[in-house]
Amino acid sequence: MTTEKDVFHLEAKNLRKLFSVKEGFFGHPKAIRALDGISIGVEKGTTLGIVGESGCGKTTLGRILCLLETPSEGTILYDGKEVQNLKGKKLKEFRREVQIIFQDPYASLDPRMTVSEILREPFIIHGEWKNDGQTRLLKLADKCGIAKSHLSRYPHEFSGGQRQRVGIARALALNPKLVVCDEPVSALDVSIQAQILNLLKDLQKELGLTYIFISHDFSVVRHLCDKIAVMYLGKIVEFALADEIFSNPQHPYTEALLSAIPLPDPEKQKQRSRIILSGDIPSPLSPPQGCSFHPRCRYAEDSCRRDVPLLKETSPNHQVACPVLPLDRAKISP
Amino acid sequence: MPPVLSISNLKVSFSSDEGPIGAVENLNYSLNANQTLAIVGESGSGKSVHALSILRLLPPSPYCKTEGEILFHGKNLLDLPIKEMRKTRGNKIAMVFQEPMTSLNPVLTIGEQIAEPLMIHKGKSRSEALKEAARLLDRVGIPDAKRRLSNYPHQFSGGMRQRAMIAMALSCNPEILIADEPTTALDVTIQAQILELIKELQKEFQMAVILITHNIGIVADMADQMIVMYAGRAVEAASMTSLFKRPSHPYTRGLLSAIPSPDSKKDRLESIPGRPPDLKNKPRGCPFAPRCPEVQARCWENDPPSFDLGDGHLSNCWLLEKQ
Repeated sequence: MTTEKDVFHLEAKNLRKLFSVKEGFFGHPKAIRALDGISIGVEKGTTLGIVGESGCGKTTLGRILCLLETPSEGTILYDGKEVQNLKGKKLKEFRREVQIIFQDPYASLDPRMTVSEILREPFIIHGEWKNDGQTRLLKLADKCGIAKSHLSRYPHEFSGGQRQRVGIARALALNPKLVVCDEPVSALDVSIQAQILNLLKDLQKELGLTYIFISHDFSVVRHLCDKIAVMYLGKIVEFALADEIFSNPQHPYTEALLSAIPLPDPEKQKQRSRIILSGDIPSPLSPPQGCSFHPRCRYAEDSCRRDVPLLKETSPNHQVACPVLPLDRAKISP
Repeated sequence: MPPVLSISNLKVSFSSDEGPIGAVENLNYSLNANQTLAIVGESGSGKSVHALSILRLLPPSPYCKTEGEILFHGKNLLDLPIKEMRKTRGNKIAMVFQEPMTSLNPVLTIGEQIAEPLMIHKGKSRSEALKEAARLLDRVGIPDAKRRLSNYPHQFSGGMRQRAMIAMALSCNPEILIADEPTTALDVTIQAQILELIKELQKEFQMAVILITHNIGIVADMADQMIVMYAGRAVEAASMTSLFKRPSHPYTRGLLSAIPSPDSKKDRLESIPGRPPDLKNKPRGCPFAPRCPEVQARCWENDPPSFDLGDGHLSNCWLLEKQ
């Protein structure tokens, strides 16, 4: 990886996001902690994966990192400069460099615009259409695998995979430097998934992009990411190099997520021991006391019900928020 | 033991302005009690349509034509009078639909929806049926089941809704459970829970299960047999072990290698280029030919028949003719 050490392309420090919800018409507003003290960074030209179940706050984090939403607390540094309070012209410039690919290609494209109108929009907004806009658009479509004859069609005429290509092309229109990919393949069939993942990888190589890749599927993340952060209920519970997470998962939640991945091989699948988590992710309205994972954790101790564990470095480039170390776990589990 | 369900030469086609659309063509299989059959294919391969045709939930002719035989205990479901069919559907053959968000009725409580089949098929009174519904909800692992009966679907999470759907399908002790992508909308941890639940319940109720999915990985340790469908027809059918040991159709191999594996890091994923053919005007010859990496001249001309590779392993590909 070509990285300048300690300089992050995009860095978040102690991000918090509160949403207020009312229960019932006369209810008192309550605060949901969607993000609870997130600190994370991604180096230039690399890919950071963010993994977690639905409701863990990973999409909110993605939206905040490209300033589609403002954090309630904390700072965001882009190329070392604070950006969370940008407005007007400066914000527009930031948006040019940081783009997002949305999750659902069925909902994120305007059904009343043709593909070429959709792809033209970023150029027009940033005043770059006049001179060579059309040629750039054609090049862009070609790069993302959209046939020229498809440009005059409407989104409903396309399959999910084709639509996601349009979403990718739109995000890349103005040569951004960083792209947030919010579950770009979760709505697609496996065979099409592979096509899109390969496309993203090729584009990264060609354009030197930095990716923040959000997904609930560990196996998808492995193929793209250099570093992976695992989120649970608004917090990062484990953060490490991708290979390290797969070979040596240390948080019990990561362990369970990894063992839940179905393996495409009946022999291997029968041999391995699966950890099946009981219950759902708790409501962020009333998160459990102490470690928010303890009700589903098989190693939970008394202290887990009391104290909130902090993210600690257990080895270089590996941070875990669990006080029960893997060595001690062997004694607890039967 | 005679099979519970046996399907032969099943053909389903929809009518459209541009001529008939062949959604399912010449599907054959049989299923025994306590067995699991996985049907795998991309969207548009006809796997869900075939499931709906078993339950006769497709639109009536002239809009949709179903031909062939679907024998349930030797009786052809396609010839059954509507009254008889209603007694079978939801009672002896039950289905879990793909999206738990849209397939539950939002204005009825979960309890009412689970109790309904019990009142209709088993003639239970409302209070009896609700009691039974609470037991079922508890059985599928929903805590505090009695209180949850009066909840509406929007108060349930995705995983809980899918559990409620399963409870509903199981309410009348069906002999066949059809699960259409039961876990696609769910997170991996919840997916593992639901699959485990279906496995357990199958043992308990001795059901035959048809599991429909687009991800081979999910069914690897669940199913006994597998059928891979492409553009409306079965391109490979085999026992699970045989299929994984020697996947014979290029499409099956493509599907298998497209799954990103958590075990190994590859630089590039294998992908199947292109997309499934338009069912309105299918290409002549093998429908997979335009996407096939091993395509030969005659694949464009003639549709391959099934070749038997031994042990009931069938595959439709010209490459296998010599063997």
